[in-house]
Amino acid sequence: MSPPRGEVLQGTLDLIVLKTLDTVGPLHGYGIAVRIGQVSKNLLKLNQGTLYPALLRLEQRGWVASKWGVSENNRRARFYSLTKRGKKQLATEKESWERMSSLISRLLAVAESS
Amino acid sequence: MDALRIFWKRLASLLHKNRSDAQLDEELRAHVDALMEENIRRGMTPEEARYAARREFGGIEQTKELYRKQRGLPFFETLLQDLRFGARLLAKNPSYTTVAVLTLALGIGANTAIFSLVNGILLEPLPYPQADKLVSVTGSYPRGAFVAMREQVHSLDVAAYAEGHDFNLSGRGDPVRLTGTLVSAELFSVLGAKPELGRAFLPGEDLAGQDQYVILSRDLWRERFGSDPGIIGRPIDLDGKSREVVGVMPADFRFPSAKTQVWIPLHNDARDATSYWASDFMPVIGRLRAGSTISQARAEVRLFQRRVFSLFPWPMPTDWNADISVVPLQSGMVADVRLRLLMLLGAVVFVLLIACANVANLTLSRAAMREK
Repeated sequence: MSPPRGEVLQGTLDLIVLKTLDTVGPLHGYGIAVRIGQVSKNLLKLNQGTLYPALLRLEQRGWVASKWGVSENNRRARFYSLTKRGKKQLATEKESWERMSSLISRLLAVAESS
Repeated sequence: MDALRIFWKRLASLLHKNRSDAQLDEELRAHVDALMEENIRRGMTPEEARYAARREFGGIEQTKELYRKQRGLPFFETLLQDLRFGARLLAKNPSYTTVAVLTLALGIGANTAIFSLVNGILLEPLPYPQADKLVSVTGSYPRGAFVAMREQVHSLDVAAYAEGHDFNLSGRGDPVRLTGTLVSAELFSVLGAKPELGRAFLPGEDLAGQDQYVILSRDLWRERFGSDPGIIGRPIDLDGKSREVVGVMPADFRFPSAKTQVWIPLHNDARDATSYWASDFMPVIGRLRAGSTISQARAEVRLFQRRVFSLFPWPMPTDWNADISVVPLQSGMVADVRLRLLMLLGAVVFVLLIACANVANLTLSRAAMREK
């Protein structure tokens, strides 16, 4: 599936951030943005600023924890990491996403064949 | 649960707003700087790099706004803002504010006062043990009828009392007039009120000839007898008759009213028809006996009321105690006051409504003036 550069919805952004942190480990905001860009091969049009309210939301829900540290170029940066509850949430959301997308695929297949 | 955690975090964040703002600023700047550096590495000039970085990031101010909205409790923050604004407006118009505040204060104050009164009189529970078993018989009985009721009604322990009997205390300094209540012997036990000193009356002590006793109120005991515990068992002179003091009631015992200073037994004399059947038509209170309900008591009392006519030495008017009933003590005691208190409450509620209308008018006229 190669969609045109799509806008990212709030819920999917949460899932993407959780997955990124799960794969890459603790990362600061800029790093997360870069990584998302890399993985989506820049097809995902991400308004990078929206990461920060999203990260705050994840932190409020207890899925992500933040700590100030030193970045790779010796600058102060805030690092975000996945919590245990976040890991569980990631699994849950991944499952529901897969379920929904398979359901939609099935519906579309039926519609086309009829 | 999640919602609660989020709420607390947002509430807590209100306290650290400044620090949080500073940290966010630092974070966002670092991000944009990193983007800029990347652009420079790709070959842009510093100017182009910064411009492109800003564009890639999206609006910085926008991001801050979104972040703040996510962080805080917008409802409370706007509420606080509005309150501060309102306070400033009020301060700028002292005459309007004073009038409005005074008007509302009068309305609210009057309501609070009357409601406290109503609450104290009508709503507070009686200060006696198991007060829900206390009832009031809604009629009045002379001694003879009361004695018969005491014997014949089995679902209640009854007691009668007669207010408005004053006594002259003599032989202890200056003679003084005391407010007294005549009571049947079981009054204190029916209520469940224990004396502070000594004892209450015993059954039978309201019979003529065996009734030379008196119980004092605590205030009287303190004022006239110097709080002397030795008064128990000693005689005092009331209306020329010597009575032995058998007990002192506690300070908070106020039956039937706070004005009662002495309790005197009834003096039931069946041979004196006038005092036995024709004087002191007394209210009767009772305590439900174990296993009896108030409707049973009501039925029994009504039945008794029909029989009691034949006990009188003369015919009684048929409408005497015609709609006799047994009701819980609270409402019975204050039956005549209840309606008046409620009317007072209603009146003062209207006063408050008028006060509100006045303040509304004031505000409206101010707004109209400002438009001009």
